[in-house]
Amino acid sequence: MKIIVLSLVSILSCVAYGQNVQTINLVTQMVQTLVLDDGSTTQFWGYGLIKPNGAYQASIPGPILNINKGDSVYINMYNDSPENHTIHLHGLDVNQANDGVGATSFTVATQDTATYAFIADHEGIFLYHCHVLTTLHLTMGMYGMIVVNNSPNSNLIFDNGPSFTNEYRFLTSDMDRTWNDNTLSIPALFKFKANYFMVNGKSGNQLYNHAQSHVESYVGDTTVLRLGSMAYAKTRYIFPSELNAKVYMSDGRILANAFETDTLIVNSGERFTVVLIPDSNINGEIIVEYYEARNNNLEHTNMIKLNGEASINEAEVGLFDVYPNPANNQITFKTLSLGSTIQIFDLYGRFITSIFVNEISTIIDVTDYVNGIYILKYQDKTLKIVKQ
Amino acid sequence: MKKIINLLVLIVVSNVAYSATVYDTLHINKVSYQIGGVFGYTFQACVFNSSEVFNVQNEIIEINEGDILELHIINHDTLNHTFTIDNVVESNNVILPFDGANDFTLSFNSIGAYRFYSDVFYGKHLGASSLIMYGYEDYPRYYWNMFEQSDTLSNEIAALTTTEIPFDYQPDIFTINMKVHPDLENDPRAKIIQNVGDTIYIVVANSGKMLHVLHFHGYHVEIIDASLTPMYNGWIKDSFPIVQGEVVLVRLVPHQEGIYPVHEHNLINITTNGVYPGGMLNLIEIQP
Repeated sequence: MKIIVLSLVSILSCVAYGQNVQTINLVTQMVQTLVLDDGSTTQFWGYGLIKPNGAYQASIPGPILNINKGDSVYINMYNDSPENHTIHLHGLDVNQANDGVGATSFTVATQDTATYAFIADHEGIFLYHCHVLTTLHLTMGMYGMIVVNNSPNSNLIFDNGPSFTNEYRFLTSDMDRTWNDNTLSIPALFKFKANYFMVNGKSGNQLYNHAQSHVESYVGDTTVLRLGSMAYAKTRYIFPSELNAKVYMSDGRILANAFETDTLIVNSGERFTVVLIPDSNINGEIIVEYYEARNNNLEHTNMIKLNGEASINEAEVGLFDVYPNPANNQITFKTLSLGSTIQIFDLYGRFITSIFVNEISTIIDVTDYVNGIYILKYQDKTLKIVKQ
Repeated sequence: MKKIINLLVLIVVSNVAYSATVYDTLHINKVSYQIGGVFGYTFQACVFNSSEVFNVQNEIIEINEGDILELHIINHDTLNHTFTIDNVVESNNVILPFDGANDFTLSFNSIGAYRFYSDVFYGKHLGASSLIMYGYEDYPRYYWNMFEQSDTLSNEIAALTTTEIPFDYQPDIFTINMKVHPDLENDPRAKIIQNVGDTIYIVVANSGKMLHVLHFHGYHVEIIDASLTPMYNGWIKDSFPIVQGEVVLVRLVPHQEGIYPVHEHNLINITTNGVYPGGMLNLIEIQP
């Protein structure tokens, strides 16, 4: 009953002040199956959209919620799971009743439904996640991104701001697989140790080869990237300099000093709006790095394929193949074009090693390499390889 | 004429107040300390106190703009310490053990928050780190000094059996002002109780050994000064990092009433000895 009263108060206040009404129906589910980069499976908990026909399926991350600035938003949450959950509307500065923290607002019990209501006062990127036993529920997969558009009728980032021709959203997160594999035997929570770093719920080749995660940005485009992090760590994006990346917003607010950069750190809970205006059509990747917060060590690297339709890697398939990439100890280099030398450089162009290729399969030992990105050159082709 | 004299007197009085010298004494104490109630444990702590009686919370000094601080520091530990403020007092001083003492005359060029600490391994990594707030005396001010620790490591540091943070550092207790949730609710320096429309200044320091990230529920804050990440200055944020050794001064002008959490968003930090909720989880209470 308390939940209903709180929700009614919130709904009435939104109706009074909002413009357009957006209603979103979400479900929470537990014990869902996630396929990982190596083909193995584990379980996750998450949010899903309830379709008009009543069907639903949770995903990791949860569905992106698209709303417009000024909207009155109602999120109906049905809890189809055996534990209490909430929705914390991260960064939206909602009133206390709708903040999604059990101790100060309310929780949604098993098989119950409740409504969260708010007015989207600011455009930008926001997040949502469960705030019950948060350390566990969040990393189990109960999170997603909210995008508040400036207007349904424009493609401006904000009033009088830059317009964009295409848009991509990336949410980083991490997972200690031992937790997901056996939720009945979670160790002391400070022992969390991420062994999977994900971008939009995918990592490694799973992300790199996922067409929907590729960024297409060519000369003449103005591409907006909406970036957020739910990882328990520091993440860092590395943009090719030809993209002329410029940061305009953070945490749903316009930066007074928009700035150009080739690298951008996104910490847990932070969000950034980045605009790309390429000055040439390039292939390659946007690199996303994961630094362990306790020792600032680079532990994982993901790559978002850039302009994948004409990817340098696909163009090189006939010359050589490299796997695994990223790699821990060794990389296998295969080619039918023998008699040349592999050269490896670090990102600063410093020579690391060379290996003459006289067999179809050559093993490159990277055990002693410092974690990070390296450039492999063979004949007239180059490829980024990642040691992790 | 009487009016002019009165004005002159007022100016003289205000100038005297403007250039006041403030005298204060800090005591360096080191003991074993139990923290976190039934979920906590005992760890070694070294702190700057206002007396030789140990209090796990470091002393915080507030002085008005224009004040000069005459600081007397007494070291009750059995080892040397220093008194260091980045860019103000260098680390090449020594405060001898067994009640050795040093005096420091401190004047500051700009208003803001300054972090002081003992720049010896067994000092700063056992928690001997706190804040001087210079100026902003007309506003409510709050202090969140973040410090995480591993009980095993703290014992090794105190026993002088290690001189470096291990690569696989795994802290198990996460404190603000050396307190953990829910004990933080009883810390008037930490728990904000103010009203809608008030201008509130909050100093967030990272005295620990790892990156920390703070997230505000219910509000955005303006970053006034981030000592080691000045790129953030002027940004309006609900989540922002405080890197190791950094002091971040933020301004909050709450637009709505309510009780909201503010917490570390690397969520292992809102546990105490592995139990949720705990650790670096604080509350803001804003009244109409």
